[in-house]
Amino acid sequence: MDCRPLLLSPFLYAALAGAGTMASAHVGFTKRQVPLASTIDSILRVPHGCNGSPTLRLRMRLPKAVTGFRPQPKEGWTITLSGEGATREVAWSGRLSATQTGSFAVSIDIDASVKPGQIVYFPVVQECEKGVSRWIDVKGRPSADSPDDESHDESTSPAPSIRFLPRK
Amino acid sequence: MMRWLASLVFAFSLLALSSAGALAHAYLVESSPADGDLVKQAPQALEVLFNEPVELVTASLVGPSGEVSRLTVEGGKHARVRIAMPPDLSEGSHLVSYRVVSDDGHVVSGSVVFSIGRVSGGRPSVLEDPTIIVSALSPPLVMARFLLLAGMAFGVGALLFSAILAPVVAARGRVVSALAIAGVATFVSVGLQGADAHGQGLAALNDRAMWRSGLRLPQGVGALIALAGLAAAAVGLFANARAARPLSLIALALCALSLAWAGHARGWRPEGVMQGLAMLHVMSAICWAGALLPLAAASAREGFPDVLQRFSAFAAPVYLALLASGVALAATQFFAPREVFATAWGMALAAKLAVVAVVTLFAILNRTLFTSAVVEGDASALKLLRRSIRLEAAFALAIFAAASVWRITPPPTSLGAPNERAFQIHIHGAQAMASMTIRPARVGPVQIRIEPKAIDLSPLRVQEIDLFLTPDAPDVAPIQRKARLVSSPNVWEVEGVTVPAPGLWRIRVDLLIDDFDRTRLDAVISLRP
Repeated sequence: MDCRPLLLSPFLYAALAGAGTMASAHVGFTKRQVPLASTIDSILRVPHGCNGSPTLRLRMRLPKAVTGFRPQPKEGWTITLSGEGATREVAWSGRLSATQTGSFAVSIDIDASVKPGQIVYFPVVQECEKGVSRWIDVKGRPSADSPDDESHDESTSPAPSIRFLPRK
Repeated sequence: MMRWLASLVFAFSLLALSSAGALAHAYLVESSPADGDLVKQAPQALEVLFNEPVELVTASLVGPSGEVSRLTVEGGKHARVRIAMPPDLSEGSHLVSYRVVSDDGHVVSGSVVFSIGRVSGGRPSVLEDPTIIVSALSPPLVMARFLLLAGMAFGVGALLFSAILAPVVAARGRVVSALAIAGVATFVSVGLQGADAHGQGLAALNDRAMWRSGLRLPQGVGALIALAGLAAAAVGLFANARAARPLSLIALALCALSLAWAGHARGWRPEGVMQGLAMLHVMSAICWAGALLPLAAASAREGFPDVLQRFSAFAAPVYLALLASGVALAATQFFAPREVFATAWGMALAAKLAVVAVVTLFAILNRTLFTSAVVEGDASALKLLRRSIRLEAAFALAIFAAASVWRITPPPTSLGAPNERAFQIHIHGAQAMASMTIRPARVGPVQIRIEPKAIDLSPLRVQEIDLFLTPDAPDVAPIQRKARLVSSPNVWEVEGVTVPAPGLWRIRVDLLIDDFDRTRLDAVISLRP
């Protein structure tokens, strides 16, 4: 097969260009924006360990907007749900090499009070063999000195979030 | 068509590969010189080793005098990044800030501080000399304190005079207003205190939370004790003679306790002794100053020589106790060699001492010249004595004014030696606040103490504290340190931070409140060279 056209293919370049932006170094959902629905499916992606150390546990705090949470079973990982009210938590325990990407599929029931345009945050604590990474920074919690501080958006460890688009 | 499809598939598989592959967050493994190193000679370059190849995008250098310069950057991807230093690096501490892009396009920034020959160390900064803490509420706080002191002395003191030395029925209205002024001033100072602790202005007095915070402070407890004392005095004023005497003494003791409870003597050692001395000082001040106006009023009545003699016998030991306790309290501030009179506290003390000297002169004059003449029935001496007593009362007000300024000036012992002088700030956030002490308040190695507090000023337990110090220049990455809990529940410290240069520094404190909740506080400080 002749490879030339393939190398020149616009798709290839588009894909390569896209790779940089899609492949975020943060823990987050693969779908950051989804049309509002009573149940959504998404995948939590863990791109790396904590500064080179393998991941042993992921803990996620469930926000109020979530009425039900069903993680998909994952081989080699035990999943526990604990707490109630404002302290509901999901934990995945297993092992993920620092240089591998992990995917954790979930099915989430969304509360009827959630409106299109709303962003819901799912703070995650990534516990590694050595060290902890906290993906818990939330926008819209500005400091008193700089209420419009944009730097929150540039947090180096933002909480995974889902922004809801109008219903289909 | 097939080709397009094939390339599409290939592109997507590349995409999949790239997301599964080398996506690790680039991080610093080591650097040479390392962060915090003291080196003898200026390095030609800073070498930074990352866990994966990165491309250096920008680098800048903050020198010991605060000047920021861009460093030239070579292209190319390397795990070991070499940042060339300018040839003429001066002695002192330098901060090199870098920004690199890892394979996945993710930007990572960081900084390294190293020192050449010596660690930068500036003189204590004059700007931050915390000899006076001025806030929006300082004038009302000083005013409230002044009204409180004057009202207490002229109210409770006058009651004591009439209950113990001679009944002065006509002056009752004046005593009631003095007590009322002191009561209102005490009450308002609770709100002022709370609002001030939150860094708010007068408008915040509308907020109930400020009042609740004010009550939690030592001054709030002091205010409650003072109100109890003033109430006892008010009851004593209308009670019969038998009840008035114990009530006036209770009022005196409570008022003295209220001021000693929350005053500067609280922190002076030995604490119990110093607070006792402060109480004695306040009690004698109330007895002395409060007696002046009733005495002047009594001078127009019959039997005044009798009252005057009794007052004379009572005033001498009281005034001596006042002076002696005052000297003992002030002496604690002169123990270590410090320029006490250069501080705002010392200036207020000097002003107070000057007035005290004049008043003492008047007191001696009254006692030696006029008292005996008045007792013998000299009418012109009586007139002069009355005038002298009123003048003494005016001087008492001046002394209260000087003492009120202490409300906003920390005493010298709390400042430490000039070289070790600390710089304190309170950083307020929407969810929490923190008191921060940077010691010494100058460029160079510093110790930073952080005390997180909840919005109601109660101590806030947190899991972790991260501190970020960034020079106020574009594109310079922060010096980042973790704090260590040194004393439960909420005293944290960061040691071994070197602030390399003067100028404006942005401080950011991240408080990890619980596993999933982090709150951030920001402030800007200025350090002089």
